[in-house]
Amino acid sequence: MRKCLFLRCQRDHAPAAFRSPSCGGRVDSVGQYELGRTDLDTYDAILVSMLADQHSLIDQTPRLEAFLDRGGTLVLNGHMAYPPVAGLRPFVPQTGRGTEALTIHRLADHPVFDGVDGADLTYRRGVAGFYGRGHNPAPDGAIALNGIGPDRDPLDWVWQRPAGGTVFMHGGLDVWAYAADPTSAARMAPQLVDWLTAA
Amino acid sequence: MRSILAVDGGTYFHHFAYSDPQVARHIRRRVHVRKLAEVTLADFDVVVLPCRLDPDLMAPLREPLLAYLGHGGTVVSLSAEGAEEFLPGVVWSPSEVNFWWWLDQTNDPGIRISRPHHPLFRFIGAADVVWHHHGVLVPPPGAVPLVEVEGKGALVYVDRVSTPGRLVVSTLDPVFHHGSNFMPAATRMLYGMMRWLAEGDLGDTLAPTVAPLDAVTRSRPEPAEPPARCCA
Repeated sequence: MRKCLFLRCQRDHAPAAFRSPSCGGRVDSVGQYELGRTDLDTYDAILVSMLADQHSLIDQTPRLEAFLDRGGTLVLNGHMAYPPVAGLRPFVPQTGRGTEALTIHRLADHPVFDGVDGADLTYRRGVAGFYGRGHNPAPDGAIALNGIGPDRDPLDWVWQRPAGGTVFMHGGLDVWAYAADPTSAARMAPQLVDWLTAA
Repeated sequence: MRSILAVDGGTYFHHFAYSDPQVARHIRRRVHVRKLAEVTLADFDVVVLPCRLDPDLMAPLREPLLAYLGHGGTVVSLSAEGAEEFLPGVVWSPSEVNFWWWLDQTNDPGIRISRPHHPLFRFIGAADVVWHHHGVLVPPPGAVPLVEVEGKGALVYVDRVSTPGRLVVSTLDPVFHHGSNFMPAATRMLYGMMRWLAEGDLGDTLAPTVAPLDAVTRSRPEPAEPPARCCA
């Protein structure tokens, strides 16, 4: 079975989404500081939360890049302060104000966002801004999936690395944080795991 | 000008909050939490601990922090979750995080500045402490609540009783919100608190150093909901 590895940011950091039947035991977890001692060969994807200690994660850049070189997928959430892989750049905050600056626009279809209404990403209980408040610039060759604001800056993108592997970027609140939402946004977490573990 | 040591958990929100020039100008040194054991705390007047520090990394630092407080140091913890593992006197109870309170203008979250004459509030206004919060605190007897939720508990207090130093504990988490580029009130609170710590009167004359004789044993309030994470 193809499996994902979620990096816990604290001892009790265990998103309910990954324990749900829809994820079917396909997500293991390990403390983020244990990454260097974890055999990554059995995993197809590594999931990194917005809460990660990014400063320490860059100590693992050689292992992460080797994991990608072997064809793995790295899922990153949050604002990039210390990009863990070459080719990624730091977060750029939204400058505009108001709902228009925070509106999410679908730019390309992707299995993670199948059936996910952009309005359910823009608004949570009528409030805009949870999903993203800026973007991590996409490398050349990346496919922008969701854009933010009037310029449709790439908030979500997927990048087939020239050296191998895939980076899936969401530059905001963890996509699995929506798993219990009573909206189509709840589809993202199981669809992410399905996509990562598809044969 | 006091010298401030800012502890950094390596998260993006710690980085971006501390990098803001309005915050950075008050920080003498920024140290990653995994390097904190190598720092001589006594070299600093104030140690700032932001939200979302890993208690597993902080628990081994309990003794150095107690020693620092024991010599009169000032520790500011902008989170209570897990803080009882490395700071004295912290009794905290999680509560449901209401991200939506402001949608209904008739909904008063009940957050009040309880000591408006405390010098902290020369730097922070009443509106700067009002957003959602992550649980309530029961201050030790003699500690001074600075911000409270009416009828529920404290969101910020200063404790000069538990140690010879000053311990400020907050369940408002302005570093997360300012460093995440939202919540203007959190930005104002962080700016004000850093200025207060750097150059303000710390309010010692308003905070007793011994508990009142009639102090009763505290009990931890029953949590209404499981702990809510820091907005994620």
